[in-house]
Amino acid sequence: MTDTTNIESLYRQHGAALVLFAAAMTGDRSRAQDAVHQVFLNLIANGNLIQASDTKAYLFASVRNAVLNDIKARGRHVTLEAEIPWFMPPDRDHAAEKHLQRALREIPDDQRQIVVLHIWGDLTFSQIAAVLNINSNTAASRFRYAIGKLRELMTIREKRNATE
Amino acid sequence: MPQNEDEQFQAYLKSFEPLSADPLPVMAETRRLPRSVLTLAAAAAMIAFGILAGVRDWKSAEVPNPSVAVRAPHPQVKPLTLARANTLLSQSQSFKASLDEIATNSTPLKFSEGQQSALVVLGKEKKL
Repeated sequence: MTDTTNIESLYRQHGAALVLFAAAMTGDRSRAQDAVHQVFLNLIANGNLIQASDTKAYLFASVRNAVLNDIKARGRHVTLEAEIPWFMPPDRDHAAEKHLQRALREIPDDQRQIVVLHIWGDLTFSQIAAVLNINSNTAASRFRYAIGKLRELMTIREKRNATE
Repeated sequence: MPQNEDEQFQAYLKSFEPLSADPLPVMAETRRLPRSVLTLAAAAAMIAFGILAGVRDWKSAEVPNPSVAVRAPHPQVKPLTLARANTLLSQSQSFKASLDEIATNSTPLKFSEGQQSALVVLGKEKKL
């Protein structure tokens, strides 16, 4: 199997989670998609497959760097209204998808990144620590705090919708 | 917050699947490649066919087709003899028609050395 085929296989495997992670950082899915494309096209152009011991953590770290460079160059663009969905909701519950996306946007950036990396990226806390250059205990505690906050936000919205 | 509820909430979050990423531009090009190869192959085949047809036409123009160039002998053309001339004169509706028939559908007889056609001899005598 060629390196390009390997890289394409990695893209099919992790592309969706990587784009979600980038969208959680930028607030803009199309910019997130561009950042992920840029990372993979660079990998293909360089001609050699990732030499890192942890390929998945390396990919997430590369996407994070690409997004940070993009934010530095163009500035952050966070849309207030979540018009473009990030998820395929269970039972096509698009209202729940909007609730989740809004709740994610309301928690701090670092916590949002950790939630996305752990829940949808399937990264362990030590992998998350490597990606974000933080301590793994810090990653775990921030995750717990973020989950509590998310749950609270989503419960409030559900109650509000029930009373309306 | 109880741990069980936390796990349930995490499972609920996992039930939301991230939307799939757009295909890589390189992957899209790779899928298109066989189509372009087919187009190139078709173009090459058409060019080759054109060249072969051109060569064939050029060769056929260079060597004339014998079936067209050589006129097939008329099946009714017969050697002109005195007997045939008499027959034609007696059977024809007019003298002119019999002369036309003799002129158009007759070939001169081939004689060996010393021999002569009776018609030629009579014709000469008539002129004298």
